Amino acid sequence: MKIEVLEKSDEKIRVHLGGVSRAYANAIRRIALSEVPCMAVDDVVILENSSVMYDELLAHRLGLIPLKTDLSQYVLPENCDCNNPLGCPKCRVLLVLDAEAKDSVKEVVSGDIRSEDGTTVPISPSIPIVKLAPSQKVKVEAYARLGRGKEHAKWRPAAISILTTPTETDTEDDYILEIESVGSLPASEIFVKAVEILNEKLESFTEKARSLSK
Amino acid sequence: MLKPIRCFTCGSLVGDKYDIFAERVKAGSDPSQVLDSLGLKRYCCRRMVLANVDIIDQTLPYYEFLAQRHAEFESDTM
Repeated sequence: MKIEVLEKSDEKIRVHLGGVSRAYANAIRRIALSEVPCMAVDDVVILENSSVMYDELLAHRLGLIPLKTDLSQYVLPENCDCNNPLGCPKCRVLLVLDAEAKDSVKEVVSGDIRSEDGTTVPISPSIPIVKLAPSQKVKVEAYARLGRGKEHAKWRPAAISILTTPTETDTEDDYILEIESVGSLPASEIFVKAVEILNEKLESFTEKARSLSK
Repeated sequence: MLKPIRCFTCGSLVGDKYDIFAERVKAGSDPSQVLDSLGLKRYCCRRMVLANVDIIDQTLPYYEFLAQRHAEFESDTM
Protein backbone atom coordinates (compact mmCIF):
# COMPACT_ATOMS: atom_id res chain seq x y z
CA MET A 1 0.00 0.00 0.00
CA LYS A 2 1.34 3.41 -0.99
CA ILE A 3 0.17 6.82 0.14
CA GLU A 4 1.45 10.15 -1.10
CA VAL A 5 0.21 13.69 -0.45
CA LEU A 6 0.08 15.63 -3.73
CA GLU A 7 -1.38 18.88 -2.46
CA LYS A 8 -2.17 20.07 1.05
CA SER A 9 -3.71 23.22 2.53
CA ASP A 10 -6.34 23.95 5.19
CA GLU A 11 -9.11 23.96 2.56
CA LYS A 12 -8.01 21.14 0.30
CA ILE A 13 -6.06 17.89 0.30
CA ARG A 14 -5.14 15.62 -2.63
CA VAL A 15 -3.84 12.17 -1.78
CA HIS A 16 -2.52 9.48 -4.10
CA LEU A 17 -3.57 6.04 -2.89
CA GLY A 18 -1.73 3.10 -4.44
CA GLY A 19 -2.43 -0.59 -3.93
CA VAL A 20 -5.84 -0.20 -2.31
CA SER A 21 -9.07 -1.59 -3.71
CA ARG A 22 -11.62 0.76 -5.22
CA ALA A 23 -14.13 -0.25 -2.52
CA TYR A 24 -11.72 0.75 0.28
CA ALA A 25 -10.82 4.09 -1.34
CA ASN A 26 -14.50 4.82 -1.99
CA ALA A 27 -15.39 4.00 1.62
CA ILE A 28 -12.93 6.68 2.79
CA ARG A 29 -14.46 9.14 0.31
CA ARG A 30 -18.02 8.47 1.48
CA ILE A 31 -17.13 8.57 5.20
CA ALA A 32 -15.42 11.96 4.72
CA LEU A 33 -18.75 13.28 3.41
CA SER A 34 -21.26 11.72 5.74
CA GLU A 35 -19.68 10.39 8.95
CA VAL A 36 -16.86 12.67 10.08
CA PRO A 37 -18.40 14.76 12.89
CA CYS A 38 -18.32 18.55 13.08
CA MET A 39 -20.05 21.29 15.08
CA ALA A 40 -23.32 22.99 14.08
CA VAL A 41 -26.14 24.72 15.93
CA ASP A 42 -28.91 22.21 16.66
CA ASP A 43 -31.25 23.60 19.35
CA VAL A 44 -32.30 27.23 19.36
CA VAL A 45 -34.19 28.93 22.18
CA ILE A 46 -35.81 32.10 20.84
CA LEU A 47 -36.16 34.60 23.66
CA GLU A 48 -37.19 37.47 21.42
CA ASN A 49 -37.64 37.81 17.69
CA SER A 50 -39.43 40.83 16.27
CA SER A 51 -37.60 40.64 12.92
CA VAL A 52 -39.39 39.98 9.62
CA MET A 53 -37.93 36.46 9.61
CA TYR A 54 -39.94 33.61 11.13
CA ASP A 55 -38.41 31.83 14.16
CA GLU A 56 -37.84 28.60 12.21
CA LEU A 57 -36.11 30.41 9.35
CA LEU A 58 -33.84 32.20 11.81
CA ALA A 59 -33.02 28.88 13.53
CA HIS A 60 -32.32 27.25 10.15
CA ARG A 61 -29.90 30.01 9.18
CA LEU A 62 -28.10 29.70 12.53
CA GLY A 63 -27.79 25.95 11.93
CA LEU A 64 -26.15 26.43 8.53
CA ILE A 65 -23.33 28.64 9.86
CA PRO A 66 -20.12 26.54 9.79
CA LEU A 67 -18.44 26.53 13.22
CA LYS A 68 -14.75 25.90 13.99
CA THR A 69 -14.57 22.43 15.50
CA ASP A 70 -12.17 20.99 18.07
CA LEU A 71 -12.75 17.24 17.95
CA SER A 72 -10.45 16.57 20.94
CA GLN A 73 -12.59 18.79 23.19
CA TYR A 74 -16.07 17.44 22.47
CA VAL A 75 -17.79 14.07 22.05
CA LEU A 76 -20.86 13.11 20.06
CA PRO A 77 -24.02 13.32 22.27
CA GLU A 78 -24.74 9.59 21.72
CA ASN A 79 -21.24 8.73 23.06
CA CYS A 80 -21.43 11.13 26.02
CA ASP A 81 -21.84 9.69 29.50
CA CYS A 82 -24.08 12.53 30.76
CA ASN A 83 -27.35 10.89 29.52
CA ASN A 84 -28.94 14.30 29.64
CA PRO A 85 -31.22 15.33 26.75
CA LEU A 86 -30.03 18.91 27.27
CA GLY A 87 -26.38 17.87 27.08
CA CYS A 88 -23.40 18.74 29.26
CA PRO A 89 -20.25 20.88 28.76
CA LYS A 90 -18.58 17.87 27.09
CA CYS A 91 -21.15 17.49 24.31
CA ARG A 92 -22.64 20.92 23.62
CA VAL A 93 -21.69 24.61 23.40
CA LEU A 94 -23.90 27.60 24.10
CA LEU A 95 -23.85 30.45 21.59
CA VAL A 96 -25.68 33.70 22.35
CA LEU A 97 -26.94 36.22 19.82
CA ASP A 98 -28.36 39.51 21.10
CA ALA A 99 -28.86 42.29 18.56
CA GLU A 100 -31.09 45.32 18.20
CA ALA A 101 -31.46 47.98 15.51
CA LYS A 102 -31.68 51.45 17.01
CA ASP A 103 -32.14 54.22 14.42
CA SER A 104 -31.25 52.59 11.12
CA VAL A 105 -31.46 49.22 9.35
CA LYS A 106 -28.90 46.82 10.80
CA GLU A 107 -27.50 43.63 9.36
CA VAL A 108 -26.88 41.04 12.07
CA VAL A 109 -23.78 38.98 11.17
CA SER A 110 -22.11 35.88 12.55
CA GLY A 111 -19.50 38.09 14.25
CA ASP A 112 -22.24 39.23 16.68
CA ILE A 113 -22.53 35.68 18.07
CA ARG A 114 -20.84 35.15 21.43
CA SER A 115 -19.53 31.68 22.18
CA GLU A 116 -19.44 30.05 25.63
CA ASP A 117 -16.05 28.37 25.14
CA GLY A 118 -14.37 30.92 22.83
CA THR A 119 -13.09 28.27 20.39
CA THR A 120 -16.35 27.12 18.77
CA VAL A 121 -16.95 30.25 16.71
CA PRO A 122 -18.25 30.89 13.16
CA ILE A 123 -15.49 30.40 10.56
CA SER A 124 -16.18 33.85 9.12
CA PRO A 125 -17.36 36.93 11.06
CA SER A 126 -19.30 38.39 8.12
CA ILE A 127 -21.98 35.78 7.40
CA PRO A 128 -25.39 37.56 7.28
CA ILE A 129 -28.03 36.12 9.63
CA VAL A 130 -30.91 38.62 9.51
CA LYS A 131 -31.60 42.27 8.69
CA LEU A 132 -33.39 44.35 11.31
CA ALA A 133 -35.50 47.49 10.77
CA PRO A 134 -35.37 50.20 13.46
CA SER A 135 -36.73 49.02 16.86
CA GLN A 136 -36.65 45.34 15.85
CA LYS A 137 -34.80 42.95 18.11
CA VAL A 138 -33.39 39.42 18.07
CA LYS A 139 -32.31 37.56 21.19
CA VAL A 140 -31.54 33.84 20.96
CA GLU A 141 -29.69 31.09 22.77
CA ALA A 142 -28.30 28.54 20.33
CA TYR A 143 -26.90 25.17 21.37
CA ALA A 144 -24.26 23.69 19.05
CA ARG A 145 -23.30 20.03 19.14
CA LEU A 146 -21.30 17.52 17.15
CA GLY A 147 -23.24 15.65 14.49
CA ARG A 148 -22.81 13.70 11.28
CA GLY A 149 -23.53 14.60 7.69
CA LYS A 150 -25.86 11.64 7.24
CA GLU A 151 -28.20 13.20 9.82
CA HIS A 152 -28.26 16.71 8.31
CA ALA A 153 -26.12 18.41 5.65
CA LYS A 154 -25.15 21.18 8.13
CA TRP A 155 -22.84 18.65 9.85
CA ARG A 156 -20.94 17.85 6.68
CA PRO A 157 -17.31 18.95 7.11
CA ALA A 158 -16.31 18.30 3.47
CA ALA A 159 -17.76 20.31 0.59
CA ILE A 160 -16.54 17.85 -2.03
CA SER A 161 -14.81 14.48 -1.87
CA ILE A 162 -13.86 13.00 -5.23
CA LEU A 163 -12.13 9.79 -6.27
CA THR A 164 -10.35 9.78 -9.63
CA THR A 165 -7.88 7.59 -11.49
CA PRO A 166 -4.51 9.14 -12.39
CA THR A 167 -4.18 9.88 -16.13
CA GLU A 168 -1.03 7.85 -16.64
CA THR A 169 -1.09 4.65 -14.62
CA ASP A 170 0.08 1.10 -15.19
CA THR A 171 -1.52 -0.62 -12.19
CA GLU A 172 -5.23 -1.09 -11.59
CA ASP A 173 -5.50 -0.14 -7.92
CA ASP A 174 -4.35 3.44 -8.23
CA TYR A 175 -6.55 6.34 -7.09
CA ILE A 176 -6.45 10.02 -6.29
CA LEU A 177 -8.69 11.20 -3.44
CA GLU A 178 -9.48 14.90 -3.30
CA ILE A 179 -11.19 16.40 -0.24
CA GLU A 180 -12.22 20.05 0.01
CA SER A 181 -13.21 21.31 3.46
CA VAL A 182 -16.07 23.71 4.24
CA GLY A 183 -13.81 25.30 6.89
CA SER A 184 -14.95 23.78 10.19
CA LEU A 185 -12.11 21.21 10.12
CA PRO A 186 -8.79 21.27 8.19
CA ALA A 187 -8.99 19.03 5.09
CA SER A 188 -6.15 16.81 6.34
CA GLU A 189 -7.99 16.19 9.62
CA ILE A 190 -11.14 15.14 7.71
CA PHE A 191 -9.06 12.59 5.76
CA VAL A 192 -7.34 11.16 8.87
CA LYS A 193 -10.62 11.02 10.80
CA ALA A 194 -12.36 9.25 7.89
CA VAL A 195 -9.67 6.55 7.85
CA GLU A 196 -9.97 6.16 11.65
CA ILE A 197 -13.76 5.77 11.46
CA LEU A 198 -13.44 3.17 8.68
CA ASN A 199 -10.92 1.19 10.76
CA GLU A 200 -13.23 1.28 13.80
CA LYS A 201 -16.09 -0.03 11.65
CA LEU A 202 -13.93 -2.85 10.27
CA GLU A 203 -12.72 -3.78 13.76
CA SER A 204 -16.23 -3.98 15.20
CA PHE A 205 -17.25 -6.06 12.16
CA THR A 206 -14.34 -8.46 12.72
CA GLU A 207 -15.35 -8.85 16.37
CA LYS A 208 -18.94 -9.67 15.38
CA ALA A 209 -17.74 -12.17 12.79
CA ARG A 210 -15.49 -13.84 15.41
CA SER A 211 -18.36 -14.16 17.89
CA LEU A 212 -20.31 -16.11 15.22
CA SER A 213 -17.68 -18.84 14.96
CA LYS A 214 -17.56 -19.43 18.73
CA MET B 1 -35.23 36.03 1.64
CA LEU B 2 -31.73 37.08 2.69
CA LYS B 3 -28.42 35.99 1.13
CA PRO B 4 -27.95 32.20 1.26
CA ILE B 5 -25.35 31.01 3.78
CA ARG B 6 -24.25 27.79 2.10
CA CYS B 7 -24.29 26.46 -1.42
CA PHE B 8 -27.42 24.26 -1.85
CA THR B 9 -25.48 21.58 -3.70
CA CYS B 10 -21.99 21.24 -2.23
CA GLY B 11 -22.47 23.00 1.13
CA SER B 12 -19.49 25.36 0.98
CA LEU B 13 -19.78 28.82 2.51
CA VAL B 14 -21.06 31.56 0.18
CA GLY B 15 -22.83 33.90 2.67
CA ASP B 16 -19.84 36.14 3.39
CA LYS B 17 -18.99 36.60 -0.30
CA TYR B 18 -22.20 38.15 -1.71
CA ASP B 19 -21.59 41.71 -0.49
CA ILE B 20 -18.05 41.76 -1.87
CA PHE B 21 -19.33 40.41 -5.20
CA ALA B 22 -22.16 42.98 -5.47
CA GLU B 23 -19.84 45.84 -4.56
CA ARG B 24 -17.13 44.92 -7.06
CA VAL B 25 -19.57 44.26 -9.91
CA LYS B 26 -21.28 47.61 -9.31
CA ALA B 27 -17.82 49.23 -9.48
CA GLY B 28 -17.45 47.77 -12.98
CA SER B 29 -15.46 44.54 -12.58
CA ASP B 30 -16.13 41.49 -14.72
CA PRO B 31 -18.49 39.18 -12.73
CA SER B 32 -16.74 35.96 -13.78
CA GLN B 33 -13.34 37.28 -12.64
CA VAL B 34 -14.81 38.45 -9.31
CA LEU B 35 -16.29 34.97 -8.74
CA ASP B 36 -12.91 33.37 -9.51
CA SER B 37 -11.11 35.70 -7.09
CA LEU B 38 -13.63 34.85 -4.33
CA GLY B 39 -12.76 31.17 -4.73
CA LEU B 40 -16.13 30.13 -6.15
CA LYS B 41 -14.91 27.75 -8.83
CA ARG B 42 -17.79 25.26 -9.18
CA TYR B 43 -20.92 26.37 -10.99
CA CYS B 44 -23.14 25.26 -8.09
CA CYS B 45 -21.56 27.91 -5.84
CA ARG B 46 -21.37 30.52 -8.63
CA ARG B 47 -25.12 30.40 -9.29
CA MET B 48 -25.83 30.88 -5.54
CA VAL B 49 -24.26 34.34 -5.74
CA LEU B 50 -25.26 35.20 -9.33
CA ALA B 51 -28.96 34.33 -9.01
CA ASN B 52 -29.65 35.79 -5.55
CA VAL B 53 -32.32 38.46 -4.95
CA ASP B 54 -32.68 39.82 -1.42
CA ILE B 55 -36.46 40.04 -0.87
CA ILE B 56 -35.91 41.23 2.71
CA ASP B 57 -34.83 44.62 1.28
CA GLN B 58 -38.32 45.00 -0.24
CA THR B 59 -40.12 44.35 3.06
CA LEU B 60 -37.90 46.35 5.42
CA PRO B 61 -39.01 49.87 4.24
CA TYR B 62 -42.53 49.16 5.59
CA TYR B 63 -41.13 48.46 9.04
CA GLU B 64 -38.84 51.47 8.85
CA PHE B 65 -41.88 53.64 8.07
CA LEU B 66 -43.85 51.97 10.88
CA ALA B 67 -41.10 52.77 13.39
CA GLN B 68 -40.98 56.34 12.13
CA ARG B 69 -44.79 56.81 12.48
CA HIS B 70 -44.67 55.24 15.91
CA ALA B 71 -42.02 57.74 17.01
CA GLU B 72 -44.11 60.63 15.59
CA PHE B 73 -47.21 59.39 17.40
CA GLU B 74 -45.29 59.13 20.68
CA SER B 75 -43.99 62.70 20.38
CA ASP B 76 -47.50 64.02 19.48
CA THR B 77 -49.21 62.51 22.51
CA MET B 78 -46.51 63.61 24.95
